[in-house]
Amino acid sequence: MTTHEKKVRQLKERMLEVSYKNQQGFLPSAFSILDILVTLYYEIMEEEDQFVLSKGHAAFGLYAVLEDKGILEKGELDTFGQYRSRLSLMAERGISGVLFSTGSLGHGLPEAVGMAYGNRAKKRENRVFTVIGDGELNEGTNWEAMLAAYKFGLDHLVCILDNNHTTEQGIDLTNLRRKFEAFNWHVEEINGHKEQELADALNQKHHVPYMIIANTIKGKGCSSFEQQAGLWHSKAPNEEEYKMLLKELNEND
Amino acid sequence: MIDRFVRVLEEILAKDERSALVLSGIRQYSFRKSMEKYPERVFDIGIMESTAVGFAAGLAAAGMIPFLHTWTPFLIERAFEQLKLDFGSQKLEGNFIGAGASYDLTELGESHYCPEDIAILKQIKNMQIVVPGTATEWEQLFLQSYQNGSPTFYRLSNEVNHTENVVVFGRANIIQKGNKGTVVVVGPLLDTVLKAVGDKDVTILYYTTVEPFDYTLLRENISGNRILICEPYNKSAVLYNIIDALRGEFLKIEMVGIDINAKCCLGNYQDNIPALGLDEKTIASKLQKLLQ
Repeated sequence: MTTHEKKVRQLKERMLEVSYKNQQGFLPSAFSILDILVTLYYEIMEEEDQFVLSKGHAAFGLYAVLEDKGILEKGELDTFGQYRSRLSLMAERGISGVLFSTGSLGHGLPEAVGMAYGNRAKKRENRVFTVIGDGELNEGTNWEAMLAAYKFGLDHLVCILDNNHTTEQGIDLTNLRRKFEAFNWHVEEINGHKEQELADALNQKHHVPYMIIANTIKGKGCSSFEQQAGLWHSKAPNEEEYKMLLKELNEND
Repeated sequence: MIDRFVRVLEEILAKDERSALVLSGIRQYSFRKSMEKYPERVFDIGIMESTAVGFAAGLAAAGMIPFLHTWTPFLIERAFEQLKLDFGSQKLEGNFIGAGASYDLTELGESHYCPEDIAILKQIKNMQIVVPGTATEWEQLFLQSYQNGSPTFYRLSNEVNHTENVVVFGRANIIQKGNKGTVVVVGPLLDTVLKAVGDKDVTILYYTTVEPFDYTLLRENISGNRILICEPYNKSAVLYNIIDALRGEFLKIEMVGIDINAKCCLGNYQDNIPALGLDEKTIASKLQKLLQ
């Protein structure tokens, strides 16, 4: 098992533990982006780089990473979703490491585009990374923001699409690569759970805004989630299920 | 007010490198010189109001001072959620300068009317709301508030008062003191109110900031328990503030403002004022009734 895989496993175990204890969490959404987050936070992002989470349902995953990195206090994740906790199920601005509040879909990319623009106007050279979900691609603001990002020449903006096929429940967006390319973005399509593919894609040079289509599996790592993502969308495990999910997580390796 | 807005913004853009003017399909010609001089900070993002507000939030998070200018109905009603979440809930600093107050764009029809603007915005936490009565008042209020750390909406209107007042952001003015009742008037309706009141023995309090509402001045200067509230948009946006300021008091209230079902009949704005209930005769009649 690689260091990356061990880290992903460790964070998923932590989330399962907290979800079981607190009876909260959108686990499949968070598991879907864990490989992306770990690659970004442990391998790619430099200190001055910024990350914007747009798909709020995956905030649990971001919190787990922020706690592990020491950006949140150790143990703070134990308060997740509890009375008077800072950690709402959808991340909110003001929490260390959370640049914008999440929850309502289609807000993160326009904000990330604006921040990338503002950074450049302030002569900063840092990169802005954002993760959006394919489900929220039905929101028109994403496409408007893509138009704006190209118009403004934001070559330091990287958007990672967590393509876990949620959009198929609504309007299925076929030929995503062609659509993004039609907006003049640089596009790569990868397996969003493969460490090397993620790292290679994130290290690529680009001269226009960059969209990485990361094909993922909702609930990756636990077969129950993967097979019944809808059932587990906002469900927290009971004791028996918790043990089962931990076992599935280990079997998956 | 629009001309003043252009001049003041040009001055700010020239002296403060943190300032960024985002136009959304509006007034590119007025700002053509600034767009040429500071292309990185003055630009038209296109006709995408919701995204423009989110984009402005990103600018604010990057340490810029965003000024977003577009038509009021599309700014407030289409982008309401972005105003609420991206700015209000996150308490980001941003300035929203709306063009086309209430029925200013009379001849364009329902799509361009926005008399509900203030009532809607008052539901957004941390949102400051400025309703100036003249261009000079707008400038005073704008310069006092545009970088105070909160989102602010500035209502630019075609209608302006001839009466000028020195105004302070967040504070109301005492126009006159009387004994038989109190008239609370907002922004560009002041001139009409002054004519309607004539020599009646009433206190007139003039509000150009409606959020935050100046509770203290009202509490300290109310005359009796009869209040006439005069607003140049849909009536009752500040009613809650007045009742809240005077809670526990037995009040007799009359309201002047646009009725939610009012019908604007195209033509010019002046033609429509009586039907909208904002004319001198209606105000005088309501005041007379209140004081009886």
